[in-house]
Parts: sequence; C-alpha cells; structure tokens
Amino acid sequence: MNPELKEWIWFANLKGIAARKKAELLRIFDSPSEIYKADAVELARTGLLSRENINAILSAEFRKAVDRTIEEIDRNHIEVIPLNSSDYPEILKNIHDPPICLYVKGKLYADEPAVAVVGSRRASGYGISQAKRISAELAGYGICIISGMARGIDTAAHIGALSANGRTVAIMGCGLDIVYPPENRKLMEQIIETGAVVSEYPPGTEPAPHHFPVRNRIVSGMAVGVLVVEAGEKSGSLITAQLALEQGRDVYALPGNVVNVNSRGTNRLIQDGAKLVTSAEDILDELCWFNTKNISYPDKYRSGKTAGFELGSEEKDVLELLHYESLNIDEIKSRLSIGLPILHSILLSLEMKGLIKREPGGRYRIAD
Amino acid sequence: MLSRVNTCGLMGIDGYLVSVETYISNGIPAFEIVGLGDAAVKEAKERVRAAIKNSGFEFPSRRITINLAPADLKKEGTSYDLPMAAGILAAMGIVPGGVLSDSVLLGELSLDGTIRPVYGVLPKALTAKEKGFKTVYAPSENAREASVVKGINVIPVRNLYELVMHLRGEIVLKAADSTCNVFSFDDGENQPDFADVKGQEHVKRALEVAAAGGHNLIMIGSPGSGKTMLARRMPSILPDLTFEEALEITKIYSVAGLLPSDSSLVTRRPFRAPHHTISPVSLVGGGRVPRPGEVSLAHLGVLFLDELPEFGKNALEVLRQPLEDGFVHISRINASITYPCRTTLIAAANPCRCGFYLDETRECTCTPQEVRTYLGKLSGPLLDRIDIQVDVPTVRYSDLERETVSESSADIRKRVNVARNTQRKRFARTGIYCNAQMTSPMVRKYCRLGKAESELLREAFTSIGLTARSHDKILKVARTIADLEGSENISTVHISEAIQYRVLDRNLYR
Repeated sequence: MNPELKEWIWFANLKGIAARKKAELLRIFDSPSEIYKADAVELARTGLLSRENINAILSAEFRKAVDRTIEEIDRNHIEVIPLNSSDYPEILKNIHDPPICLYVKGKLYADEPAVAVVGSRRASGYGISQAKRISAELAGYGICIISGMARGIDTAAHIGALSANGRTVAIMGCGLDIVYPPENRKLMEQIIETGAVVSEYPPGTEPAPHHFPVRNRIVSGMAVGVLVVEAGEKSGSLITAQLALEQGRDVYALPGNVVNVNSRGTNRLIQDGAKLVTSAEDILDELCWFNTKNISYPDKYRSGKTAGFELGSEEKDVLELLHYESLNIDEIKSRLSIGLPILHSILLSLEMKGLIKREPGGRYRIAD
Repeated sequence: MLSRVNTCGLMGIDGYLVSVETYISNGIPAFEIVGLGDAAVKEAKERVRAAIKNSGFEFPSRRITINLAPADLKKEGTSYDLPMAAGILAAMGIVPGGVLSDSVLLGELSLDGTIRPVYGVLPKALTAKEKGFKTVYAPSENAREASVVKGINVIPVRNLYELVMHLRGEIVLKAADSTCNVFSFDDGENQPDFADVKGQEHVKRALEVAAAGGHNLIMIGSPGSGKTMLARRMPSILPDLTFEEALEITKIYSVAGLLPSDSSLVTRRPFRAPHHTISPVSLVGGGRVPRPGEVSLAHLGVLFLDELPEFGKNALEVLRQPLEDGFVHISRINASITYPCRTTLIAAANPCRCGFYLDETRECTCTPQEVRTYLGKLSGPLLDRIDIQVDVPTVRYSDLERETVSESSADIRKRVNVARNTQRKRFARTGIYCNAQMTSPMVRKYCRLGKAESELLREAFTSIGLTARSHDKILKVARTIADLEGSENISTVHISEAIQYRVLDRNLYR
C-alpha cells in the first residue's frame, strides 16, 4: 500500500475531529501527508483545532494503530477510496462534510446517476412491494439504487434493483467485515457482485446506533434524489430526507393510506412539498434523464400481466377489486357477494398463478 | 358386635365399592380407622363421634375398629363419614342389622349430625347400581345428581338422626324423583351466540368446519380482533349433546367437585379457558390426590387456550399426548387413573408479542427478531395436532356499524349435526367418530382424490410453499368440508378451502 493512502486512512480515522473540520483542514494543508508532517505550531495556526485535536494528530500511538487497520483492510479485501481519488463519487465531494475515505467492496463509479430509496425498518407489505417495484423500474432505466441495507424498505429497495439486474449500492453503518443486519448476508454478497457496499467506518467497527444518522448523509449525498417509501412519524428516513434537502437533493415520497402509521411520515413530506411519486417515471421526469437513456421498460411491470392465464369472470372481478386496495377475504366477500367456499378457491387459484399475494393477517394484494 | 355398611370410593371418574366394617370390642376405649385413609378419613373420627352424640345417641366407650375394605387402596375425602357413623350405630344395634345390606351410603358429617354434600356422587351411584344395590342414601344437595341413574332408589338425607329413624322404620324418607327422563339438551337461550358477532365471516366458517369435523383450530390476529369472542361461541355450534355424553361430562365435574349443588346433569358442552400461567399438572390433571385437569374438564366441549405462545413450554408439551389419545393417564405407585379428554382445542395467538405486527392503525413495538421467534415457539408437535389455522383480521369500525344479520348458532349447528351424522355412519365400527381422528391409512381410504384434485394439491405444495406435514391435515379438513356440503367426493373447491386454512405452514409470519 502506498504511504500516501496510509496517511489518508490515518487522517480519516483520527478520532475527535468532526468530518467538517477534517474537510477544512484538507483545504488548508492540501493533503493528509502535509498534516502528518505538520508540527504543533503549524496545526495551532489553523485556528480550527483544540489542544486535544492537536495531541491526537501528533499521537505516535495513533500513527501505529493505522498499520493494524491496514492489515484488516487487506485481509477483508476492502478497497479504500480517498477523497482525492478519481473513483470517489463526484456528487459526494460536494457535500460540506464528505467522508475522508470510503471503504468499498465491489465497484464504485465516480459519476453514476443514482437515486436513494429509503424507508421504515418496520415496513408493511405495501411498502415493501412498492419499494421493490419502483427500485426495479429505476434500475431498469440504468439508475443506481442507493440505500442502507437496513431491514424493511432498504432491503426491499436493494432486492428490487437486483431483480432488474440493475446496480445498487449499500451504505453501511459499520465496518465492512460485519454484516448488519445479519440476515442480509446473502443479499450483501449479491450487492457486492454487481454493485458495491460502502462504509466510512474502518473494518472492525461495530454497528453503533449513532453511526446510522451519520451514514444517512452519505446515502443522500451519493444520490441526486431521495425517495422515501414509508416512514413513521419519527422515522430515521425523515432525517435522511432532511439531510437531502440540506445537501440540495430532491426529495420524493410515496403516498400511503392516511390511517396507516407507516405512511404518516411520507404523507407529511408530501404536504411539506416533497414530490408525490407513484412510479419511476415521476422521478425521471424530474431528473430529465427520460430522453437521454432509452432503456426499455421491463416486461414484468406491464399492466396486462394476466396474460398467459385463462381467468374466470369471478377471478377477474376479484383481481380488479384488489387493484384498488388490499382487502381481506371478508371484505372481498361483502363487495362481490361470492360464497366463502368458492371465494377461497378463487383466491387460492389467483395466488397459485402468482397474480395476487397473501399477507400475514389474511390480507390479499396484487402481487409485485 | 360387627357390622358392615357399603359405600363407594373413586378411581379416576369411576367408582368402586368399599365396604365399611365396624367391630366394637371390649378393651381400653379407642377408635381406630384402618384401610389407607388419608388425613380427611383419619379426622372423620372426631366428626363421627360428635355427630353421633349430638344426634342423641350414645357413643360407645369401648374399642372401635373400622376397616375400609379393600384395605390396600387409598381412600380419600369425607364421604366415608356417614357410612362409618352408620356402621358404629349398626354394630351397637341402634340401627337394625340387615337393613343396610342392599344400600350404599354417602355423605360428610358435620359435628351436629347434619349431612353435608360430597363430590363424586354420580359415578358412585352408577357403581352402586352396577353392583346390584337397590338404594343410595345421599346428601340432599347431591340427590338430584344421583337420581340421574336409572333403576336405583335415591334417598336424600338431611341429618344422621333422620337416617337412623328411617332405618328403624319410625319415619319414611321420600325417594328423590328420577331425573333421567327429563334430560333435554340445553340449546342455550342464554349462551353466547354467533349471531352477536359481526364480521369475521371466514373465521366463523372455519369454526363451523372445525366443529363439523372435530378439528382443532388456531386463530392468529391482533388484540381486539374478536378471537376470544369467537371462541366462546364455539360450544354453541358443537353437535347436540346426547344423554350418554352428558352423563360422562357430569361424572368428571362431579369428581372434580365442580358440580353446583342441587343440580343434576350438565346439559351444555363445557368451555374451559385456563389462563396461560397454568401449570402442566392443572392443565392435564394429576397431583398428589389426582384430580382431572382443564383438558378433562373440557371433555366433549372446548378447551380454549388464549395467547398460546405465552403458555409454559412444559404445559404445551404435556398437552400433546392427551390431545392425540383422547384420555389422560395418571400413574401412581399403587394405582393408575384415566380421565377422558376428547376435547376440541381452540387456540389463539397474537402475531407478535405486542400484537400489532402488521396492524394498520397501531404501531408494533417488537424487533424483527421478536416477530420471527414469537410464533416460532409454536412449531412442531403441538401444531401437528391443530388442523385449521386461520387469520383473524382487525375489524373495521364500519363493519361493526353495518346492519347485517349474522347467522345464528342454531342454524350453524344444524349443518354440523348433519355432517357429524355422515361421519358417524362412515366410521361405524372403526373406533373413531369424526374426521379429525382419521389415521393415515384411513385418510388414504376415505379421502380419495380425483385427477384434478390431486393435481391442484401437488401444485399448491410447490407454488405457495406448504410443508409436508400439512398434507394429511388438508385432506382431513377437505373431507369435512365435503361432508358439510353433503358431497360424497372431495372437489377442488373443498381442497382449496382446506389449503387456505394452513396459514402458519406458509411462513407468512417469518
């Protein structure tokens, strides 16, 4: 590893100095190696640093610790992309507190159109299916989907993008040697294959709760816009939306049922001026990529998806009803006046054809 | 100076004859009771002594020995008081010898000679009749219970003095009217009725299928979705109670001491809903002095386990065998006891610990890990005994307001009765009586599928992810659905509905 990169890693990992201060230091000193070489007087002259900061920079112990970090980086096959690298995403350099180094597994491009898709960890079936659908649509247009690989919407967004053979990037709140949440191990491998997982934390960093809000600035920072699919009133996704606005990114929100707790945050965003989004085109309109990238619309999302199946008239009625909202069997029964035994078999048949999906709690909805 | 009086002891829910032998001899005054009596029997000494004195008779100050034969079986409870007092009086010649030889005496004595009610009178009276006795003297509060037994004279007695006078022929006590002819199934004017439940039509339908085939059922839904309300109405749609069934239920309740005094037969199917903190022993029965547990008290009725995942692991574990066999076997060193427990298990569970997972209007506070493990606790052998698994969605307020008339329990019960009759005919001489009890070979014999039906089942297994253990259960439930419709063959519609009753198998909650 070249010494310059080592100094970048050293600088990035310096504790007690805010990312914003580090960015300013870099503007003054040009590169971390200058800072590495600087003495106490030079550092003090910047007027930015406290006594503790200066001690940390000059600490010999800290400089040694970098070697261990580098060993870890090599052992885990992690790539380090410093702020001055040509692989560092251009758009991320423009935020006021960009990460000094990005730890990357997979492939990262400097200028790639990307949209962040975020939302509640406790998502509903509706949120998950919509996150998958819109992510897949966007990925179909060649847009990279950025998210946080958290449970719920984040996971659905990554899966959606992968299902359309698109690129997706996951920003982690921990070191890349740790899989968090653990059930996403397989998903993480798939993302690395075609996209990338990214973190600003060196390997070995545990997923601490305070990492996630910090991580969110990268999620929005790497994207040109942020789509919030589902968010409760105090959801972390709303923090991401706030950061996106501060960074000058667009905020989109998917509307939801007004009584549903999971949609209160997104509906509020729309009230506050976020763009209401129902499909990928709504986002593309805004970004004006619609005409520049003519990638064909994926087949699977065509509306006439009953094609290939002979449906009975009652089956069609049920399908049509479910197009408007998801319903439980009693609600379908009272609207269509079909006897329960027959209705059971209609629903099973539609489900076996993959046209509808049964959710826990006995609700049926149109399959994604 | 020797006398012999007959009474009965209890073994499980059946009685056995006990002969109370009294010998009064010369010697230092003493009162010994032998024959493996428990503390209550030992203490009878004091009650008997006081009761005899306070009834105006002399208590002999001689050596009294009472033997409860057969002497190697443990005797429990207070129903030996009256026969022992009668035995002493007979040995003294106050009661003429011989008049008691064809009678059975039951009752607890109070110090003033009043006769107090005891438990287990019905099974004891049945035993007395079987053994050819002509008369049962029973506490007046228990007389109606005993008089259910046909062909035996039940004489209610209020106190010891009255009994002695009657036996001496000085007064005549009137026998209780036989109540066996007046039995009628209580169709439940005041019972909870399905007509009161608005919405949840598909759950009602599932309960109807469960009642028709004797299937166990589990409901999964958020708090407030009406699971308990629905379960409480389950006994009202179970098939009409027959006299023999009523007798069996009454025996259990009599043994457990839960029969209200002055009542005769239990005329309703029982509904038992033990709390989830219940111990394994109180659930299936047992204890130092064996008593029937909740599962036996729900015999021929409904055992409702609300919040099933909250029950202790051991409690659920011990429930498996009784549910499978229809009886509980309790072994002790010197005896083993069997309590019947052919019950329909209705269980309810929240989808997660807080209950609001996937609820539309309230937020779930569980972590994904908790959601996954909550219903996961139910996996395995106990679920293997539950044929029907249904979702109970939250009822919307608009549904409650809607003025729809729901079907009454009586109407549903008519269909259940018809389906049960079909099954009774089908299983005549096979030792079982409903679809839920079919063994695998029987399933293959009675649940034959046509080509289209087998095709559908095979496809369902691959396309919606059922587990193999649900195969037989789907067939059994489909058989019941066909029976409800009066159809000889199982059609695709029946199979489809049965498949829809396997929510837990499909891992929707994980």
